[in-house]
Amino acid sequence: MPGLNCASCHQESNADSTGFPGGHNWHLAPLSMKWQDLNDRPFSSAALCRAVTDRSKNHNLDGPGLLKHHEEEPLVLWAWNPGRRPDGTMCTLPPLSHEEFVVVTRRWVEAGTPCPPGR
Amino acid sequence: MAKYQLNINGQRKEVTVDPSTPLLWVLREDLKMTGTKYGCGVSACGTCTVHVAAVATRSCMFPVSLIGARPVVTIEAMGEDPVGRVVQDAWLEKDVVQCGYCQSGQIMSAVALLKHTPRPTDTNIEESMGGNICRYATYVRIREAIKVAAQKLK
Repeated sequence: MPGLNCASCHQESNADSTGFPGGHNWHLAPLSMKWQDLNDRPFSSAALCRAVTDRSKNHNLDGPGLLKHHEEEPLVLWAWNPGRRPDGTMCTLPPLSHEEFVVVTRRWVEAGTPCPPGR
Repeated sequence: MAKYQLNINGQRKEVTVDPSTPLLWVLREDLKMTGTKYGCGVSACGTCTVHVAAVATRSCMFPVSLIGARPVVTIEAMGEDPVGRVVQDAWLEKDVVQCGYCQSGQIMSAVALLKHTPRPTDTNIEESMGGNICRYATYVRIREAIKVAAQKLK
């Protein structure tokens, strides 16, 4: 939307003085990649796994494609460099390092991207 | 403090400010260009909209240190802009303004819309202008004025 782009607020890097996150090609995921339902409830692990591995919803990424996405995509990497909140405090980091994230992703891909049972 | 060479409305401007200073305050306080207004200060109302490299941008949350070489265009340049002039004329024709405080941001967003989408639909207008809030709810007249401007720009 020309008058209301992501770049209307989000720049190429975090704006720590204002607390606005930023990064290259900052954008929301498309609706096909949503991780929550229409009532804003997060998907279960099983449903999330099915969504992430469904090639009709994930830009046709197979297992190695998902691994590469986790290894290199700037917006994924941003999670480990999220900058500061508007109040100046640091944003929370994921509970594992990016290296650990890639290791467990590789292990999951090598196992055939299995999903947990259930809804 | 740091020195920045900025391209504002096609003119080279030099300011010495803290790198964290939002563009809005550089415009208003350092360059005395008060056409761009302060609204919410958290990028939520659109009042402070300017164009940075032709992208409608909320200047209140945009640190000057991130501008780089990108040109900045403000409401002060709209009278000389071919689309901006037509939009301002349409605003007058439709008597859009109530108190007027939000209108420089409204016009900057409208111009960005029309430069990208010369014949916008109602949906285009509502989605594109959805980030610009008017306390006096001039939205209907804004939509009419954008349509008038689009007709004149054919």
